[in-house]
Amino acid sequence: MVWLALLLALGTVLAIAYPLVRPRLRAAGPAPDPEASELAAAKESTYAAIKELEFDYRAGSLSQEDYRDLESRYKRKAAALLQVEDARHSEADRRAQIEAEIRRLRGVPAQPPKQRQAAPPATGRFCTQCGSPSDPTDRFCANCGHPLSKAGSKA
Amino acid sequence: MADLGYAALVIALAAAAFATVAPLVGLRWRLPALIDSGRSALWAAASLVSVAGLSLLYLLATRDFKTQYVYQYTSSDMSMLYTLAAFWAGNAGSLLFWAWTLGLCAVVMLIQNRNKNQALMPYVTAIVAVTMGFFVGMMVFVSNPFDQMVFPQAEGEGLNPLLENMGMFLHPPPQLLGYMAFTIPFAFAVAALATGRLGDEWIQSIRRWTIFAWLTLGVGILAGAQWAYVELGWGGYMGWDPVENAALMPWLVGTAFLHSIMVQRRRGMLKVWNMMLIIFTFNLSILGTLLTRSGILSSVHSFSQSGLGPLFVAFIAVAMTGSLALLYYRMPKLRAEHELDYWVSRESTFLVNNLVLVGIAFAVFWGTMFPIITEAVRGVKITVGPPFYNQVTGPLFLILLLVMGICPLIGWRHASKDNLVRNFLYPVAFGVAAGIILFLLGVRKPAATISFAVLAFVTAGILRDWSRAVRARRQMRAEGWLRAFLRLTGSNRPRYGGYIVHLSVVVMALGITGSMFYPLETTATLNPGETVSIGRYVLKFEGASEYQTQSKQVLASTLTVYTGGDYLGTVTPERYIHRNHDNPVTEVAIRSTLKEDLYVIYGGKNPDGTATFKFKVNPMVMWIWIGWGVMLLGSAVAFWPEMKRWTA
Amino acid sequence: MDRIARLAGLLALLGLAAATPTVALAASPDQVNEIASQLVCQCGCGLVLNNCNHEHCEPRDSMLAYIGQALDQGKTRDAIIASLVESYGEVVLAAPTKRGFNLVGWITPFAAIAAGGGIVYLAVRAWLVWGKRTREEAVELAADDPYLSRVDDELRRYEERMG
Repeated sequence: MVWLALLLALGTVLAIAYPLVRPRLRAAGPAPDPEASELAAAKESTYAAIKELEFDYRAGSLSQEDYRDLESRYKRKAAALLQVEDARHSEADRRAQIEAEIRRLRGVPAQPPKQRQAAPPATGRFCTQCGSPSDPTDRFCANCGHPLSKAGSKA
Repeated sequence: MADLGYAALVIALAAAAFATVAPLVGLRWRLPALIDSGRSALWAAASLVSVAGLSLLYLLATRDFKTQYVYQYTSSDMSMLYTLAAFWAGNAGSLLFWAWTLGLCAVVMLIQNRNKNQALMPYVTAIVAVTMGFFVGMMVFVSNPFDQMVFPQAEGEGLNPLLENMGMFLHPPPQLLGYMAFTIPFAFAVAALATGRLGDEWIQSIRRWTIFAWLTLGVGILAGAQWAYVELGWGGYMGWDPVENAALMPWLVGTAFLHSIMVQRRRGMLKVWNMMLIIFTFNLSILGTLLTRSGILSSVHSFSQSGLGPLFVAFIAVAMTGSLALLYYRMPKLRAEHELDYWVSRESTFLVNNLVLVGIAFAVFWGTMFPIITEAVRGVKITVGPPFYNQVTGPLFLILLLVMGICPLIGWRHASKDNLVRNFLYPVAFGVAAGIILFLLGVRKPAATISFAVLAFVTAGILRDWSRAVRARRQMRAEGWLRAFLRLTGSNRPRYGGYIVHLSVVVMALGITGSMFYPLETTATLNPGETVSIGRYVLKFEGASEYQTQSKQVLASTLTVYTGGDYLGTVTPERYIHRNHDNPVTEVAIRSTLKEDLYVIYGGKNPDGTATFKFKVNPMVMWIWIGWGVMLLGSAVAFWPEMKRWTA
Repeated sequence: MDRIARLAGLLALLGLAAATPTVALAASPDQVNEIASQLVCQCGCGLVLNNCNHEHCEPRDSMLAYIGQALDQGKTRDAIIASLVESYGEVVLAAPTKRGFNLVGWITPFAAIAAGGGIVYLAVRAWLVWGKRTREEAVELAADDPYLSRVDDELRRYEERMG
């Protein structure tokens, strides 16, 4: 019985220690990007909402006027999310280019790129709805999807 | 085996402690390896608790009376099934059951999130691990299921005979599991708060966990009601006993949470409120485990008492203040996107629904605590029993049903006047008509008539909404009725699963209304051959007998049942005295039909040869159990996984 | 003191029960049941009086016997309950009285819901104002906006996936 207990303890220690000593595997595809999955979740919610609206409209609990209005609002939100996604991709590409350039200049051999960081937004412009900072080129707020007016408000 | 079980618990405690600390340290010092290691440690802790659980099962199965827990709750004459069920009959075993089920939940959660929610997982791991560590620690330090007897006995004491019933399998396991399963949504909520990733992601990750926990807890509560009804022999199913209340509170708040996260998903609103709801649901669940197992408040459930109370209270205090402080800290980030367009909209019905659900939970909490308050303030002991709860929560439940009927008839954002008239006309007309017809038929207690009318309204509303959606789908896709119905339901399972659950609530409410407002009751002392009548039944006492089984002495009586001269059958209510327990146990006889239950309790034989009986006619009780089945079905529909995740 | 008074009361009740030769109840069982449903059995079972199902339950039997006799003597329901409260204390009532401090027990749940309703009302009013502002500030998208057509594409795929 004592041996069994010791075996259990040993197994536990091994299980806990293994991740600490094993070589970190990076090759298995790009590291999952938490920002991307959050965006995907937001999109999924928006599409589900649009579909639900359609249901409500067809089942008669929503008037046509309201349905049109709401549908276009949610579609605008989805469009904003897509825009944010694009912005993130181009940002990531730009960063990768810059990093490659730096390495080339330093004469360092190419290395696997580091995990993507969230793009720090340019300063100077804020969403009128939720107050989060936004890029001057954005048409929608990256946080809440609120459409941003051309002029933008200074905070 | 007992030593092995205890050793597994000790190692599990260490692993859980490591799994709590490692992910947080790994995050702080940017050591991904340490986060992975913490995850492995949670796996290890869950496996070790499983080893401990299997050890206890083994000890029970081999009837190892050297182990105190086995000695206390089993005896050799018990069937194997009940011997194993003694696992959750006492304190220490229940703690192990909780730790084990939490471990299983944790493993499923870890597998689901192998490649998902990378940012949240370190915190989720830590929260689940600390909760599990708490339960394991209680076993290691306070209430060890593997304690050995100082003076080993050859025979055990046996299970309390009240527990030897199918209810022992249907009631405690789901209820205890339900308490634990709320840990997962709570852990995700705390992780969302800690990371500041308060978007839709965590809500989507926990939707099904919440349904699962809500369903298992609900199933457990109803099984308990059914058990009380058939076994405790007082003719009711809900005694508003503190332990029942303790299960009802997290379930009600969890129901509010399930509804209001829909508003968050749809509109991005109520984020702070949702956080509060899940924090309270979790803490009320832990409070439920405490009340079940501490014997702090006297109740039919206090099968054992122990010194676990202060530790539970400390854990709840820490969990509560910690998570609320975190919520306060994140408040600025959560305060966004609150906008409504009109007063009358589905959003506002959800707000009313939440208000009433939380209000009922509060009323139950208040009623449970009020005797303590009164004793502190006035120094007088009082009882807060069924009349209080019925009078306070009855009207609230009625409002809740009404809101349940109104909600699907009102669209998100806005209900125009035309729409309102169009949507409400038929359901309201149906409800009013039902009320009038019932009144004419003699259902004239105002509360009962109103309740039935509201239920008719709710049903009509749900069916109308559903049938219109089916019709719309048929027009769009040229499908047959059945096919359109099935595909429609399949295409939006959370919604239609929810509708089925609503219908199940209607069915249950029918049973509750009927049995609450129209019960009949009479007592009689009968000589053999004498008859008694109750409602439409005439019962004739045929005779009493006695017999002995291995573990108990049974006093049986036989009555024949007639209605309007027709012979319906016999009923044999019994009472028995268990070998190891002095108090006799009643075994009621129930003759169930959809219309009503005939409920006969045998009070025992008198010296002069007569026998005493109590007779009850409880209308429509069976509908409650039917509703229970429908609720399972609806939850299963809502729970069924959606298609692959959206990854494009 | 309190305990002695209660004991004395109990003994008085028992004495009364013993003094009458027949325990058979002339009062209708329904009346007894109605009164018993407002009381809690004092044997420790915590159940409403007419639900206690212990084999030999002294408190239940004596209380039920007392209720029956008092009804026979023409006492009113309220007087019977009052005299039981006198001998056992308020704890014998299945629900708190609606008097004095006990009112707090009855009113608090409804007061809490009313307060919650007030908060909901204020919140909805504020959100309506914000909602109106958003609608007024909303920028319309051109119907041919490239992002909108991409949304329609993704929406179609989402629908296919959901059946």
